[in-house]
Amino acid sequence: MASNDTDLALMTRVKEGDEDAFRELIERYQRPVINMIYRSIGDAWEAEDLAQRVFLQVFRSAGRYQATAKFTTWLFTITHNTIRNEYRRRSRHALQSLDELTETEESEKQFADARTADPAQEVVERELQEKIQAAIQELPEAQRTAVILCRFEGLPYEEIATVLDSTVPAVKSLLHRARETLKEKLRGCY
Amino acid sequence: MNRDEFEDQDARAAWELLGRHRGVEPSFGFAQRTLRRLHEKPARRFWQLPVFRWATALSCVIALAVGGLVLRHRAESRQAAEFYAAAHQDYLEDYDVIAALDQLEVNNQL
Repeated sequence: MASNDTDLALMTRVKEGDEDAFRELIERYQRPVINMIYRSIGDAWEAEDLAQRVFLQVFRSAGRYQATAKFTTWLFTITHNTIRNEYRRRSRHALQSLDELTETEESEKQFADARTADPAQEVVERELQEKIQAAIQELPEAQRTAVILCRFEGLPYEEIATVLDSTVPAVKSLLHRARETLKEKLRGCY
Repeated sequence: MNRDEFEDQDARAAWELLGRHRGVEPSFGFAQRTLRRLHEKPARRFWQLPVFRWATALSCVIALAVGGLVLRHRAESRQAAEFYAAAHQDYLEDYDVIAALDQLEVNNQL
């Protein structure tokens, strides 16, 4: 809650055009935003570009932000919409498929964890990462967002429902179906 | 996600496995680059480019010129047609006179 209070204070300053407050917000939330996008599209560089667009949108829409909503909910809603728009843009322009991007740019990822010393183990780990990434990416849009927000960002159902413009029972249903799909996709990995 | 909500061990294991997925670290200077991007002017749309504006203005001038020429040509054609019609009318009237003279000659023969 204290974090949200600070966010609100920062947003109040951002509304007035304070760039230092904006920078603080970016530094505070750059990692969750980039990772939410990265887990959705599987491309680290593209994730950074889209994350920048998310923060620019935050700055430009700061005047419309109402303190009644939790800042992270608002931020993740913008992020979700940005990802959705990116998927639409890609399907409209029939660009390189997301799967191809994942394969070709796999070597360029900036993993958060240090690589293991054992090369064999590293290969196994790398394959596992690819399988998990593919399993997440292949989920339908709403299920994917629900899984990312629930599993990686630890958001409660109510907030996820707000982000998805849905209801708590619908979110529970999405997560149930996602778990069933993931169970099948990741069978043999656990 | 409450553990008791999982229907079976496999679903729980898959869910736990997801947690092993590595995220990515923001690259150095991400915030700085975002702030810099904030001050960049948005890319112009093609209709906002000066070339497009000049081309539009030129197209309008050409369209007006062609329209003017077409109207002028039509007016000249109409005038020519009216002159021809008037001239033809005079000829017909003369012909009536001549025809009458012929009739007069016929009458004289009688």
